[in-house]
Amino acid sequence: METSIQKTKRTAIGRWVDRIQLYSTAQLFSVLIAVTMGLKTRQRMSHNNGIGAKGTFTFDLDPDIPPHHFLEHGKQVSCQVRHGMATFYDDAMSAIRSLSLKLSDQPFASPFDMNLNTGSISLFWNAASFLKLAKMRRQKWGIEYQDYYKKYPIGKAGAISTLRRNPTSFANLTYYAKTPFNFVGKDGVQRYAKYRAIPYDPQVEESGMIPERDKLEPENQRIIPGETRSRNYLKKELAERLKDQTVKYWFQIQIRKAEANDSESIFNCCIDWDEKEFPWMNMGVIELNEIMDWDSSNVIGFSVTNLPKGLDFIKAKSIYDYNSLNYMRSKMGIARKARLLGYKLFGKPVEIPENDNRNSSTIV
Amino acid sequence: MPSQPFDFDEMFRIQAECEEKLKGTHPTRTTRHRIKSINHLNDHGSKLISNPLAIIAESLLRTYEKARDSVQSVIAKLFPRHEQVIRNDINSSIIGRLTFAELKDYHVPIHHMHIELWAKTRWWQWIKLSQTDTNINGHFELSFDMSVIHRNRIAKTIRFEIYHTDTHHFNEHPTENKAIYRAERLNRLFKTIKINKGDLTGMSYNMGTIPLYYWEYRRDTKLPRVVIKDHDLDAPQKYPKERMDAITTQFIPIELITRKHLSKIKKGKPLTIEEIQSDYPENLTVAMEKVKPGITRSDQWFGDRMINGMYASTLDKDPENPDLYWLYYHWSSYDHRPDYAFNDISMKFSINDEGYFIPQSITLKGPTSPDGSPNSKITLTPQDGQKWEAAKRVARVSGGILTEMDKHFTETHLNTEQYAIAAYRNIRRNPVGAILFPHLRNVVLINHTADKILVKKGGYINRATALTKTGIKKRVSDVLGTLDWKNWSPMKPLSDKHRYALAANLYYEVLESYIHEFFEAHEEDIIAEWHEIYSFSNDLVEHSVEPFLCGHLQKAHKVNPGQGEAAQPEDWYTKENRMDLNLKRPLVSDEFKALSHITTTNVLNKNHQEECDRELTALKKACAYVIFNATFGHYWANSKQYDDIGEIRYSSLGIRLGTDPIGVFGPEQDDSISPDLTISTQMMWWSNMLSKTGYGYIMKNEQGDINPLLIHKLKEKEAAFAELGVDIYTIQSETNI
Repeated sequence: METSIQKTKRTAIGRWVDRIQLYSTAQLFSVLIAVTMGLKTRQRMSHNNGIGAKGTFTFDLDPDIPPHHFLEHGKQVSCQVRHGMATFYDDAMSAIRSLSLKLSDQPFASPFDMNLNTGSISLFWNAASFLKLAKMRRQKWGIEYQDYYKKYPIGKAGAISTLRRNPTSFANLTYYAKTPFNFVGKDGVQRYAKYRAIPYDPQVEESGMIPERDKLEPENQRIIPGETRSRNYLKKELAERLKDQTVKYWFQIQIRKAEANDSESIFNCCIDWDEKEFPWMNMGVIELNEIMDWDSSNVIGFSVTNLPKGLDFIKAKSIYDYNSLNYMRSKMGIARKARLLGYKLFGKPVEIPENDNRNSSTIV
Repeated sequence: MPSQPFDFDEMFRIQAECEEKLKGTHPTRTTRHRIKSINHLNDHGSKLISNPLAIIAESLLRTYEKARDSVQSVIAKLFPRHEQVIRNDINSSIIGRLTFAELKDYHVPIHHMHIELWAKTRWWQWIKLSQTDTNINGHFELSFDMSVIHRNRIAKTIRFEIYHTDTHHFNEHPTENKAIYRAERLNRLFKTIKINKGDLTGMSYNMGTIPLYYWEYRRDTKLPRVVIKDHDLDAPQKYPKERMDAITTQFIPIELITRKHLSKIKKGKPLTIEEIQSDYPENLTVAMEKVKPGITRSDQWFGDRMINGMYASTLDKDPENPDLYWLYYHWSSYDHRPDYAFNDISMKFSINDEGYFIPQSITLKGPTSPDGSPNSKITLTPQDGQKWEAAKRVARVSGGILTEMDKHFTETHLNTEQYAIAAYRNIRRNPVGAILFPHLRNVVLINHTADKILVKKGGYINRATALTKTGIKKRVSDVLGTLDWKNWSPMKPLSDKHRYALAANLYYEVLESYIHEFFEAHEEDIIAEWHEIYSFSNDLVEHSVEPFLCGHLQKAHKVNPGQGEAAQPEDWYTKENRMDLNLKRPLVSDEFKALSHITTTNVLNKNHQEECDRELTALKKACAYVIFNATFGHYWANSKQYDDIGEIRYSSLGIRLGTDPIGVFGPEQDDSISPDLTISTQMMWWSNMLSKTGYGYIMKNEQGDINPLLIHKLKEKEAAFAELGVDIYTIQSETNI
């Protein structure tokens, strides 16, 4: 049967209702996280299991990157990186690994922050799907999101893309920001950008790709039977590595010009941009040379609001808008502040002990 | 002194006059009674609505239903379901897979099932979001614009709707070429699944595997039967209202007569077979006897009815005498009760110079009297006087049960059901559905009812004939195992007075011509959707019974199809209207199957002309076979039941050995031989119900789904059919009674 199609229209009232819903959802969610996680348990929303490192960021700009006042070729600035994993306190589990970049030596203030995770696509694609993921987590003993993966196959594909089991080092993983950002350079042309960090040596093979068995059931993130790696092996590996060498990454950017007929799917973090049409270009080098202690690593915070003008996040229209994820992130400041208040009131979280509390989402 | 030659012309003239007289004399409902449904018919007393309070309640219910329908109709007009899909960009999809639900079927996909996604707004408006068909693996992807759902917060509920495509409506094509009548697929809602709007967050939403209880095969029998747990709730089809109205009008008077008799019998009030007979409308033999007593007991009438009546027997050449024809009924292998004359019967016929069939001898094997030996055998000829007359009566009765069980119930009802299940499970897009479905409709419903009241333990066959439940079961399975579409052709006329065979061939020619033209017009689409035919064929063969050939024929032809053997049968054996013994049967899971594959090719390439021609020819033959059996085959066996078993003393479905030493050779008036009073009145109930409650005729095309081309072609042959005694306006379009 042939399908006849009729275009739909959207009213101004509808647009306003969408925005109010987005605003209230983001605010409510951030307050909820602030109270239940930040203040009560002194946890981040995710990626609590992590370790920081200090170093420098040297702008090494590909000539094809349009000029932007923030991007100065050859400029070197201090930087901090926090490597983490979501959402368990056990490095040997199958989990998402992260690299959060801050071009500053301050705990929060920074001209440029970027959160990156393994895998080029995500488990969720907008605020609505993120909330659905959160609602359907139902974690028990290292198994989570079973129903979510059944209902949302893209979420499952995202999990398969992002999960890493027993990587040999944080240093040989590739990390993607996944969500696009604005890129409005000196020429004033509207462009969009995606970011990633790859090992400095392009020959390095990414470790920890999940085996076929795990692809069938990404919901099972538990350590493999007879696992000998410790709960902190990956953090320790980074600390050991930084004792006698630096860890370097290329920080890269993918840029596309905004077109009048662009589909909204270009903002979808579950769809890669064509690398041939929009090639990755070097933006600079991250060079880490000093490990941070557990407490300093916990205090450090990152935000999508820490971005220079023209490179900021894209405004969202509704909770179904793909850009609503960064909008939600932008409203999480209150959660970070609540966590820091919790540290002051109840003390900082203890370091993850080397014990048999495996497959755990709690420290002890 | 030589006896006066029999006047055949007179006999047929009387027959024609009586048939004309009986036309339109069947009583119609004049009382308040109503029938609850066809499934509630029962020869012990159907469920009638007769209590005044119940009638008032039923009227109120009808009024309520009418009011409800009117309100729904108004709502539907106020908030129509526009077929246009509303969307800007495709940014989301709902995916999943449809499979059959039954245990053995769980991984069998339901292909080409039409599905739609609708949103209902807070203001009751309907928005069509998407539509698609499942692919050949049962997978579907309904792509839609998520912003439409969330647009202005208007969508309240999201409905995932699964549709049947099991009927068509024919629109006449504007050109003169009548073959191109356009079949418009009609989708009927089968199942609705509500989707939580909040679950649709964009991208893909997976509904997973959705198992549907849809045309499932029963697992409690080896016969290919459909699962119907509750006729009124979960049957895959429903009778149209007009069918219910027709049976209410036509059958209530008969039902009331039977009730009156059963009540009298129960109360011990006097009642005779003659009284029972006279209470029911006259049948053909009763009417003819009034004109010329003895005419329907003549050898000539016997011969004609055996060949051209309800029995429409297939005759072989007599292996012992090539000048004679042989008709054999085998019953002794089937479990039966001992108090009935249930003989194996061998009949020999000659064809006289005018082409008429004359019985020459009847051999009865088995007991013919209460103390008769199971191995006794007696051959009678016209010279044997009363015994010969009685032997004809035994043969008529035996032929009656054979026609009812073998030809009517198995060859048309069950045979059609096996094609119906496979067709409804698999054919949706292929144009072939448009020519098959009108003739496959409702057969599973009536078969379900027949199970209950006709063939199950305590059913009429079990009560009125010698066959036990075990015997019925085996007989049905065996007969079904002798049926196959491949290389089938209608009965070959043995003379110009072989009216049944002539009419069957004429009808088959019409079908072949109609199907050929239809295929020519739709060949491209038939080839394009060949996968459906492949799946149809697979289901048919996989669920078919084992092939069957009786021990006598196995020995005679040195072949056993049940063991996968094939051989050319002996010359005396009639090949038409029978399974081709020269074909090796398909093997499925170490079991040979009676039905042949229509195709074993999943994809048909029209560039491979030879293969295409071969496969299309096979499909045409299969279609012709299915339609023939479901229409003409059923019409003949069914509509003539009141003529041939509508007079209790003339013939019935069971004849008892009686109490007299001469047993079945006693006179017709011996009540110990005839069926008892209960069975007698129930027999009249049955023969009336089967022959006189018609609905669904090709020429009337009540449901509008018969291809006008078939109607046109039949109309062209109206006179030729009439010459053979067939009124084309009485040929049923479906096997529904």
